[in-house]
Amino acid sequence: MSILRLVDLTKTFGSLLATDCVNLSIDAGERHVIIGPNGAGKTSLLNQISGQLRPTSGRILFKDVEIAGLAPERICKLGVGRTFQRNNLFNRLSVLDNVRLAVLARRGNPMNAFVPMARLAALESRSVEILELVGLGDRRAALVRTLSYGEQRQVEIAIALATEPDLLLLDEPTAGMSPAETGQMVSFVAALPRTLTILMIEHDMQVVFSLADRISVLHYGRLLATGAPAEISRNESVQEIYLGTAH
Amino acid sequence: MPERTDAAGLPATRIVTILRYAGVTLLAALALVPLGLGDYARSIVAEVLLFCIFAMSLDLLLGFTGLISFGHAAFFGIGAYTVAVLGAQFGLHPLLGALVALVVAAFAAAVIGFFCIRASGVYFIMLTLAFAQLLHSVAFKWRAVTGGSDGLILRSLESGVTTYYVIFVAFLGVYFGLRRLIAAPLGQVFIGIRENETRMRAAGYATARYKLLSFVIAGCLGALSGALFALLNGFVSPAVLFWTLSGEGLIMLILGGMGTLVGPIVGAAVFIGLKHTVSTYSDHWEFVVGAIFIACVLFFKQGIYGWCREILVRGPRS
Repeated sequence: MSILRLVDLTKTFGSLLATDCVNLSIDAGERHVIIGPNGAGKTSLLNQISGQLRPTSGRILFKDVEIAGLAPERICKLGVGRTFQRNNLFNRLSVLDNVRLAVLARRGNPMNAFVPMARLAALESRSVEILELVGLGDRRAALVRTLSYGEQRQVEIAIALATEPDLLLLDEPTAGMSPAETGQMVSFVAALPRTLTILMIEHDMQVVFSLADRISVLHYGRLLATGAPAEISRNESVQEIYLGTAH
Repeated sequence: MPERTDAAGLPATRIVTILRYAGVTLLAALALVPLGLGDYARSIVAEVLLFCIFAMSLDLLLGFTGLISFGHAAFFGIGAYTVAVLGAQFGLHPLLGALVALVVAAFAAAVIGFFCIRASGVYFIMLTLAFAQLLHSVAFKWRAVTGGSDGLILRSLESGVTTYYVIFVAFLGVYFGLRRLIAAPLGQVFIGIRENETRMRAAGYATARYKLLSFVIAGCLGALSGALFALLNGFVSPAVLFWTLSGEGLIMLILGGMGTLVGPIVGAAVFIGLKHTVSTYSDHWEFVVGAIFIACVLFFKQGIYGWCREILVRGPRS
């Protein structure tokens, strides 16, 4: 059963085709990875699904509901969570506060103007639970801006998970990470429950092939190929893009 | 985590305790002002307190929600004129007038905010300024109701001491109310919007709604300070709606330090204090304030209070 369907999705910036009539269907529980060279329109595609960008035309169906052009907060509430390619966090707030804001949106009452946040134990314990899951339990009091880059990437994931998504969009989760951090991230993503569908953009081919159920290749906004990892690695036009020569 | 200490080895928690004692002492002193000070000095303290409310309300927008309003005089003026007009035209008691002013301001802020929050950055600044100037010209031209440039005279309370305590209680209410709000989820959402609005939206917050709410709360409290100003002065003129007052609010925040509640209080006290002390020696008091303002912007980016706190917590920079 598909959880996300893109139908003739198109996005233009002036004369530039960022997304060129993309059709794609992603099954519930699938780990789907989008690859493609720089400027292929991968992030633009993700931004349309999560609402940061409004598509020029076409449809985006999430659990059979049209979400194309909805505000990001509506799409989030419907069950699409995401991380950003460049760390996009509350840098001057603590790690706990970063995650707690996302937990509050899902489980608390943000309009509460009387009870101090620190006294809402349920919000705090849920936030700590998520932080322990991503391995930041003992860093909760630190300010996000003082964390290492890799730790900040983990906060990204923690915030996305705190929105309790059914579909998780990861924009290059291992970008800028050390090999050790990358390894941890891969095993972390691999261990996420299959009730969660994951659509991710990734450059590191080792990561791609160790996580993907299926791979889609994007090139100049067009979907060049979709298929199982073995099919994609045999695909000639894909090899051409990545190696620059036909074999 | 190791406890942070200052240069003298004082733990950060002890500094918080020291600041708390200083605050309590200050509040006690403020409560006793009418016993120890004459009419003139008392009215100046009252003026400082009501401008503290004005500055704190602006700080909710600027320092906590990240919305730079250059039209906060609009709400100060709405508060002042509501009290004055209702008093002069219908003989309404000024304290009742102040309550009506809160309702009028909430409505006006909802309407003005509805348009302003659609814009961001410079456009937001310009829109807030435009709305405030619009109201200023209404107050100026609509002579039948507002008295135009002659302004309106209103009935004052029974005694100056009563007025002082009304303002003091309002100040306490606003300070502790806002402190509560900022620690609560709603305030934390405002701070989240200030820090990273894109991220808040991606986490499921309809940020426009929260920004409007912040605008309305700030507008109401701004109107409260205006209403108290009318009460204290017994006279209201279009100056209470002029853009220079919005600018003075911003100067108070930058002087004192925004993003805290004590900062605006320090800023308002310094600004009004300087205005009254320097202006007795020279007509060019704005020159002195200007120089201090420039020094603050260049050297104390956190404002006077932020700078003091930094020194207390971390020790002077070597």
